[in-house]
Amino acid sequence: MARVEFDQELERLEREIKIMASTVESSIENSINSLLEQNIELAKDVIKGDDIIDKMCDDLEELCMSILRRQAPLASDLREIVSCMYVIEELERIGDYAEGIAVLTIKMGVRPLPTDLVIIPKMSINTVEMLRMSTETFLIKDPKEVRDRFNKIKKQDDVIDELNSDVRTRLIQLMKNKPHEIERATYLLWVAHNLERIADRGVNIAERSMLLVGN
Amino acid sequence: MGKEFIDSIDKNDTILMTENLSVYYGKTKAVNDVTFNIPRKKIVALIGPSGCGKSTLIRCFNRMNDLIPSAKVEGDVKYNKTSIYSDKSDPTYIRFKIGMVFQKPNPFPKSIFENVAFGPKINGFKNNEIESIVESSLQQAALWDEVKDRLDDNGLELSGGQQQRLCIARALAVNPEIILMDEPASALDPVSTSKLEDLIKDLSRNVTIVIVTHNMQQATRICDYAAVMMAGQERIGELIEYGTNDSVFGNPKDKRTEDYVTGRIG
Repeated sequence: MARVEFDQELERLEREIKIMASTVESSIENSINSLLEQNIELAKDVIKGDDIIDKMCDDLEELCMSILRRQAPLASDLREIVSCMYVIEELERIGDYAEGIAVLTIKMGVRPLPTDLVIIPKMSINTVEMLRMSTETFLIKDPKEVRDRFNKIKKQDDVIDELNSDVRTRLIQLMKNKPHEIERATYLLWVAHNLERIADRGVNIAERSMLLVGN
Repeated sequence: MGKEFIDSIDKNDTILMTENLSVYYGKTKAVNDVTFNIPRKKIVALIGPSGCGKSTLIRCFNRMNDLIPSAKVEGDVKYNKTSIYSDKSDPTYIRFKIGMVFQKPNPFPKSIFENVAFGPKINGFKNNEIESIVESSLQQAALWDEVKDRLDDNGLELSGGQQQRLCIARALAVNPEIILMDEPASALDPVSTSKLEDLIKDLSRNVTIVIVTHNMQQATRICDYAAVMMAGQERIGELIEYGTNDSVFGNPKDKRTEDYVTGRIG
């Protein structure tokens, strides 16, 4: 089998993208937990943890550059490395959104939340689940399976968009009823917005998978 | 009937048409049923593993295989819509209009000037015209500035890269429409290779280039179209894919092309 070293490097890249994706998923979960539990220390951990995600991004980009430089890949190999660079960038931005939620948690303070947050945890669970499916899909080579998963991911994104719309309606109503909570309700709007953007970036990753298998 | 590739090349823009071309050496078939069109003023790379018939094919484009007694060609090659294998066609004229540059530079053991002046002299140009042709050919071959003060020096005293550009100037001096290049950079260092690639790109504004190369990165850098050959069963070369640079090196249609350009076979 030719190009053994290249294939090993590709495997290593995929393995490390999985680790980065899993770190990013934990960061989202922790940021939402910090909000729900009003756990400022956990929020601070998420903010610190984003530096680790940024470092992973730098290291993986360097690995991609090194593979491009030394292996000069073409055709599907080239598409795969370029797609990996794109996905790494998306994961890094998703990490920033999780960090943003943690910052908002700290801004919210430890006073009782202005409303019950039933929908936001639901959005969060859906978003993390969808992101996990997107990054798993990116590493799958079977076109049919990628297509099936892509359709599921798109549907899940629609659900998240609806949940976001629902959160917005409720929070606007809250602002009308309790003007003194406008500031904290606005922070919650941003939390929902960040989750919605994370889902959009999950769709971007899934679209990359579709391109990789030639759809 | 050979497989057809790329419908999008306008027939009016085609300078060389290869139709059901098969080549034999004695009883051995080397190339099988190749059909494809080469567009005018473009760079077409012929790529494929060793022994797949690339050099055999390119040598059919200006009847160089005529020089091999056992070689026999079936099918046709049309240059500007006229068969180059018909009885009326003159191989010497064909080779002026479709020049060739080889893997190893092969200047004549004569002065730089004489190397380039050789073709125009045979064609009956006068001395004052020849001087001007030599200068413009050397300029087109990006060699003029390096040799203008030493035109009487022997061509063999030049560096390998310069010798290759001298051979290109020699081909250009007879005003060709096509230049065939059979691994022209394989004996050159990286700087000479880079200069040659720049020259090839530059020449393609006026001349069609067909280049055989084993260097995939080189093909990616310079060609507009790539034709992929592969020896199938019984070791007979076939054209398996022909497409644009983006298509062949970015998203090939044939699995064998994919495996070849990604370095997994060949």
